Amino acid sequence: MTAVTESGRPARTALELPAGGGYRDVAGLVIGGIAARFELPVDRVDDLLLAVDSVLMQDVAGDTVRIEADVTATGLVVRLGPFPRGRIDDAALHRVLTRLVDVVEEVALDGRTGAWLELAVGSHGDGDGT
Amino acid sequence: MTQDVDFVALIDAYRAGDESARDALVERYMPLVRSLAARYAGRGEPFDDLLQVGSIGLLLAIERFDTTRQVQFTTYAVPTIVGEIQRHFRDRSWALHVPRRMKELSAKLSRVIETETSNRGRAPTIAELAKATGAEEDDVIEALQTWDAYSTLSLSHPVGPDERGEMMQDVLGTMDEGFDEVEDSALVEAGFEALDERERLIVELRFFEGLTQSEIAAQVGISQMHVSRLLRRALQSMRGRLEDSTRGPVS
Repeated sequence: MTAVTESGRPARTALELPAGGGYRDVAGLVIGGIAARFELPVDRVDDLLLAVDSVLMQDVAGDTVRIEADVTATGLVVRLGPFPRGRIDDAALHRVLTRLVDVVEEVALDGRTGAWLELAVGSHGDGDGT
Repeated sequence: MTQDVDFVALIDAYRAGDESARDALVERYMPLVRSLAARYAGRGEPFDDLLQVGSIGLLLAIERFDTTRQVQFTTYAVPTIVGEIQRHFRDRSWALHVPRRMKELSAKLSRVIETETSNRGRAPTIAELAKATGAEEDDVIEALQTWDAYSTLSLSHPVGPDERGEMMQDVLGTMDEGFDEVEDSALVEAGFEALDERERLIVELRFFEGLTQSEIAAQVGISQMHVSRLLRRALQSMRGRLEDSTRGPVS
């Protein structure tokens, strides 16, 4: 699977959905489709879908939620947002996400408002997040 | 209001570890379950299934009833039993809205995941599932998302890897021991109490003990797909409870 584009950037898939949760299944189909290409065991794919679903249950800071999936040399990074800052401080959400994916981080992105949650799974990962 | 002395004695005996006391309570109140299940008969679900989910409601009521409260056990038990039966119908009606093609693929996947996991010593990949079922990978992913919420797993079906005769009720009945350990956790604040017994067990195993879905499936004796479904529903229930508590009472 190609990890980078010809310009050297990670291969990225992006979609923007109306906020409110009515389109969570659409996000799942797209992210699941990309994750499937990593030959992850089905329960790991499902964990990632569950993590994405859990994030999408949160209130976003706006009318839409943007989802980006970057294929990197080591795995898949899914970025979702924008959310109000401090979203990851929600202890329950953090607990759930760190059990479902390898890495969970709240990041600020240049030129973009709000906070973004990054979920990463390694192509051969099998452990809990940090 | 005074509690039936015999009833209180049975409850006390059960809580002191006498399993036969619980059996006696179940036997005593099964006519109530039968009566409530009969009200929902003829709506497309086998009576035996209704009886089984109603029995789970009765077991939950026995577990949770506070004998010091001035209320009759039946007053407490009826809504619990009816709640389980109604939830069964809600799950079933959800399943009816899933396209037949997807339901068939879901059923097939559930079996294939089990056999492939056993054969390979790990959960299969999407590509391996697609090959094994003859479906497209995209369809497998869609089926994973929409699989059947309705489990036909009998509650009195032997469960566990060695099929040692342990029943689903037994598995559910032993989980309270672990709850104390998570009482102070963030998940409790986030609506852990909103979950039913099965969901609590799965959540505890996944998010506190760190078992994978496949490991939970093997331990509890249900399919990985069913574990996934329970996890998904549990997280949604917890989210709903959190939102309710954030909104506060409606004035």
